[in-house]
Amino acid sequence: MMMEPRELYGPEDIEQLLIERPFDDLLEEERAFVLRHLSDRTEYQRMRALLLRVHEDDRPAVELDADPAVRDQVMATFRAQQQPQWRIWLNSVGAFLVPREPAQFWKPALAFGTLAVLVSVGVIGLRNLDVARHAEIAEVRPVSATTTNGAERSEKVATPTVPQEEVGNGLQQQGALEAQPATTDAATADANNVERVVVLSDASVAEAPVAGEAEDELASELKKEAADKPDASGNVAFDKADTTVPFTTATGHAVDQAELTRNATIAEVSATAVVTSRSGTTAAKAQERKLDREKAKAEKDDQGSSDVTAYLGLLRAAW
Amino acid sequence: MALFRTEHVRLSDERLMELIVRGDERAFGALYDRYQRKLMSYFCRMLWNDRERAQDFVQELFTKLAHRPQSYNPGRPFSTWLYSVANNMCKNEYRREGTRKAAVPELRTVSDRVEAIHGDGVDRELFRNRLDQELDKLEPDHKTTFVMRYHEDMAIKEIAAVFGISEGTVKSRLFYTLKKLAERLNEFDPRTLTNPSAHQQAQ
Repeated sequence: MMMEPRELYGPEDIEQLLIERPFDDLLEEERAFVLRHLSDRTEYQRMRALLLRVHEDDRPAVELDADPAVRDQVMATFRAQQQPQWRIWLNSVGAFLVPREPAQFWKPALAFGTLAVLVSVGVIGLRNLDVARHAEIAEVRPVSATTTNGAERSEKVATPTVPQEEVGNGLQQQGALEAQPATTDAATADANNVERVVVLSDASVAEAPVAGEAEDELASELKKEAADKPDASGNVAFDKADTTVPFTTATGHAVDQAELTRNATIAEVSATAVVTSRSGTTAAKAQERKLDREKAKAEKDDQGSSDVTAYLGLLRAAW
Repeated sequence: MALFRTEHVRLSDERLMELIVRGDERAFGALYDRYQRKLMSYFCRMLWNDRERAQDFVQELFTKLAHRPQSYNPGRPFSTWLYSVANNMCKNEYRREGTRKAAVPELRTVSDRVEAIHGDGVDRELFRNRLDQELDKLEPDHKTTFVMRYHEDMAIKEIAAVFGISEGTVKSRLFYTLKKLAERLNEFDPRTLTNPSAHQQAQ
């Protein structure tokens, strides 16, 4: 079996032959290989000449050094790249806030002015928002201020932090209050308010310390009066009044503890009645306000609908 | 302290790149000094012997390197990577130049001129200019291969790595480029054509 001779060179390997030897110096095999890829000797020689000239053509390297300024710039770029970014940022902020040229000061001034305006607008906006919120609450209140809710609220107020002793006192006061229904009836005008007062009288149990405060006030007034008196006997009497139960006023009527408490409770109840009547008035006012608002809204709607009608009429006319 | 100072000049390109990624300024300087001349020469040949432009390109290339040293793949030889970046820059420039040339055809006529040089210089200068002209007419990849091989003295293996092709393809490309150029530049050096040994003796 005949084996074909293996190709020793590829066309790319001619380069080596071109550099090393002229055509005439090639071996038979090499020459045959060259002639398989090139047309003739002339072409080989031409290529060889070119290759040698190219190798010969070494341009002076001194001319091809880059400018030292290029190196400086490149190194500066590298240095800048290695610096932390925040420092660059701060530098730019500094340059912005304190420009070298006075003519450039308008920039930070403008920035600060804008910032001030934004802050003021923000503050005003927040305030308005608060006002709007309060207005919303104010609108809601009258709606919830019905008798039942009011009672609930007063119950809520009455429940917390009542000392046991005072609760006992309060129960006594409640008893005293029930013993005098005429006073309560006189203080309240209509049936609703009566209900309210009855409910609130439960609350007065918790408000018993107020009666104690009234007592203290009375005692302090007495003290003052006694101090105003020039004689020493008054002072003695006052000193005694501090410790003994019956109170002696200037008229000579002795006020005992029960009477004092009763008075205070009546005063409290009447005050509650006033509050109730006031809240009743407030509720009525709120109701009125609400009605007014609804009326205004309805008027506006009417106006809007009349506008729409007019607009439609115009459109129709135009059509 | 001088005992522990790294001698950057002796370090390999790849090691220098590691240091550059860590922010070593001296390593960057050493790498610049090592490659700036080669790149200047390469860009100059690739960009119509325009020295200013070559300088700009060297600066641009090293600026890119300063900004993104991480873009270098340590698995590749540095020189190969650097030349592939340079090659891409040149290709982009050819594209731009093509657009410019289409707009203003007489743009390159200045570099086409041959200055009057006496004696051997005339022939050499003429040859250079003609060679550059003919190289410009070639495909960019062929031109680059030729310049890398015969002007930058890069190994076939390196060129293959720059282009990401086989060594055989590089050799083949060089062969056909040489053949083409030889046809077009046959007016030069008839002495070598007639008597090749004379040229060798002259060398």
